Amino acid sequence: MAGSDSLADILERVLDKGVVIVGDIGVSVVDVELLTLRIRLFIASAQTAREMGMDWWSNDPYFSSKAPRVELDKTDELVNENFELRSRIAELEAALVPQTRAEGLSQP
Amino acid sequence: MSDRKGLCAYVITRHGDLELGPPLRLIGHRRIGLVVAEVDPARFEAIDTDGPADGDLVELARTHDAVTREVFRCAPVLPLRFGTVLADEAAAVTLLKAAYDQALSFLDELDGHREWGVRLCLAKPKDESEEHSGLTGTEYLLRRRERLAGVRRAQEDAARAVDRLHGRLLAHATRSVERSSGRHASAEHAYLVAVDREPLFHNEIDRLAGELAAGGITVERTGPWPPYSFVDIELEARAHA
Repeated sequence: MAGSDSLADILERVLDKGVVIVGDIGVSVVDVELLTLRIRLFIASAQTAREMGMDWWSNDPYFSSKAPRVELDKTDELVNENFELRSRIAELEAALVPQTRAEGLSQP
Repeated sequence: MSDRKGLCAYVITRHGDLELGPPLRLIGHRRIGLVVAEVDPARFEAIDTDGPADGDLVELARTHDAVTREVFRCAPVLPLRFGTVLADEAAAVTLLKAAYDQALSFLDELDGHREWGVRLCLAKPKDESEEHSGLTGTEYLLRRRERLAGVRRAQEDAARAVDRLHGRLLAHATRSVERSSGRHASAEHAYLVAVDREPLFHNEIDRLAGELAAGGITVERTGPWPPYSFVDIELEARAHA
């Protein structure tokens, strides 16, 4: 099991935890609440993108094959619903304007 | 970026047998020390919280984890919050002096332990590549609702399994805390386990994992981790005490 900790697991611990220094000794700390939220949103959108065949991040050096894949639970209702609705929209739009939509979807 | 310099502080640890290579160094005070590296504070301030996910954030977070683990190989650690940047070495010493007794006490408690994460995951649902074409809107929604109801039932089963497993694992852990990420079927628990209890702890997981596999539930284990989930602490440090 060691070594299989996903990027998401690492980010959730690093960004969400740790000793907090309070005081005026010249400490500056990044706004971690905002960062944690952004990471969660990113992970949700990454799942949607992968299921639509758009794994745009696999060429990104920060998410290369050296990093374990982000594991997401398919039973997350919101993510499923998002994917299904987007698939449905994509199909309906493809039927309407085949040329334009096909180009849009195949962009890396 | 800018020309400003700050000290990114990663962990508090016990002074002693640490060998750190550049850019890391230890600023010590009596029996404890702060592991730092020089950094441009703008790297943290520039993290764009409105735009798309920032690659720099991930790199900084990975570095934070890598440094924490590096120190953790040799000594107990108190991981600091990501993005803790001190002005200079004087600030680091002020911090260590102010937090001395608390920090030493926590380090002694954590010594000899590692963190493990345990969560349960449902088996992936059956192939969902059903035909969307040819379904009316109503049929589509009804089918989806049935599927979600099935998922909910499975989640309730998983929740009961979590309770069973948790009860057994507590016997082998010094502390535990629930971490819910919302991404998985069940909450994740983090356990602080003494290194010499780890074999018993993992045997317990393996045993129950075998029983749960029959019901399509997998037990996922992550770790070992430095004790990230067990340092829910504030340390106070004032410039003029």
